[in-house]
Amino acid sequence: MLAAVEIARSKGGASMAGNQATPLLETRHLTKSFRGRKIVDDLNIRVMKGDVYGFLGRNGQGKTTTIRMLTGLIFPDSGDVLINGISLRKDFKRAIAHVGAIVETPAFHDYLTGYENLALMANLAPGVTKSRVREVLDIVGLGGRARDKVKTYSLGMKQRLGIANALLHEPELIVLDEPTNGLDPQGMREIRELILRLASGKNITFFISSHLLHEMQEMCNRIGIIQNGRLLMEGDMRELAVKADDFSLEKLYFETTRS
Amino acid sequence: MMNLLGNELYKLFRTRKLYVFAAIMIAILILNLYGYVPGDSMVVWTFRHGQSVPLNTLDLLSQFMVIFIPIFLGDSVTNEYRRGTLKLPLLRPVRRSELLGAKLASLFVFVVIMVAFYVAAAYAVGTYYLGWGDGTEYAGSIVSSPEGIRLTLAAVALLILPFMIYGLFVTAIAVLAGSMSFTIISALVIMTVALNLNAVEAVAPWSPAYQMVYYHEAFIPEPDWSLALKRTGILALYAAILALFSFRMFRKKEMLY
Repeated sequence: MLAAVEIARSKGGASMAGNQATPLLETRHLTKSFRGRKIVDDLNIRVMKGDVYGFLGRNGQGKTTTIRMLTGLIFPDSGDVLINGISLRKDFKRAIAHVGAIVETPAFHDYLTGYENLALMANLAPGVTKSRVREVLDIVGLGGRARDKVKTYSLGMKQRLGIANALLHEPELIVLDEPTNGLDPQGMREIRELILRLASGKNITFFISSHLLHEMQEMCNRIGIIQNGRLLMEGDMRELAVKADDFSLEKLYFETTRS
Repeated sequence: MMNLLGNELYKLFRTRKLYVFAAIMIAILILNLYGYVPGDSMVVWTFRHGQSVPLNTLDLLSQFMVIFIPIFLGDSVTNEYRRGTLKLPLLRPVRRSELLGAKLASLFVFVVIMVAFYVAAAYAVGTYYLGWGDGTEYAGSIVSSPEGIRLTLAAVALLILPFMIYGLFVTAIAVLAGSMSFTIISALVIMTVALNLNAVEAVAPWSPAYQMVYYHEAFIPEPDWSLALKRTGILALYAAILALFSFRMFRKKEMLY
């Protein structure tokens, strides 16, 4: 097993401890249709504190739609999202305060610097100081480019700025939508290492959507597979690995989606 | 809410549009006053004194606002939605009504800045080409300079209300639209049609486009309280309907970018 997975698993916390604790993130019968077509269908996900949860599925299977509902950007037709037991529908402000997110591509005001963008976001979270802005920029390795305009940033730098933005208010849960999409191998590696460092060092729970199976195997301790908007399976990677000697996420994914 | 407004204002001052709009105002004023001959049959203006320029060219200010407000809101609401930056504050503990409220508050600041700049620029350009003069000409009579300045400031302050109602109208479009160009073009098309309807007496008093040009005339030089009440009532009705609609639509809007 890869060392990276071991790091994530070693702090894999509550999910390892069993399913009795309150999930940090939970969806209950989440359903969403667009133009009569069900994009997300009765989705029930449980992410426990300490998880690095990989939300897997091909493009167009409902991953981003799910993430938009998890963050309140779109509204479910039915069902609910609970963050730390708080209903996003009923108490949005209190629920979303626990979350940092990048949804789809990290969008920023490109005529402002990285620092300015984060300073604007810091204004919207109580207790976030300017020194915290500098701190998160250093954490993601953008300290040296903080005063450059975002329009001069590469995609990888924008992803890192997005993670810095998500980290600003020290959330318990960070939701990332395809964080390594479009990055070169070096950029993918940087983001992967950053996520693992934050997961183990800062005890942050991650919910990461992706179709890149190898990346997910290296990062996640828990996975859910979505197809046609339905959750096909959800499980602990270590338990899954114990069951099969030649376990690989790729094999599991194709077996699950084929059936 | 104040932090959100602070963010909106920060963005406003960091983009170029405020400065470009100011430059356009000066350029148009110069184009209009360069070679201007009072009493020339080719122009509708008759003023002779530079200090009369702001008060007698308020229709020009209204035309600027007809164009600038859709650009401001098209960028602030629709373009941010399209570019994905509108969702940045919505991923924080911020209610959608607070965000839209902050955007409308920043529109108010924008309108006040534009109006103040126009008055200053019109005084400056007018005085440069015509000289200050010994009184302010308005509605066929001449009043003292201090009274002229008072009337000018009162007129532009009053016009801020219909400008904001127009802003609410554009906000309703911006919230529904998927692209900045759609917001701007549809607002301009509807407003151009509405301005042309000003000639129809039965419709004109009910039109926000009419109020954008003539609202202040119910108050200055002497107030006609019955007319002022009627015009203000109409604007208040528009404000209530448009604000209710915009906030409701924005609360329901699905952030797809």
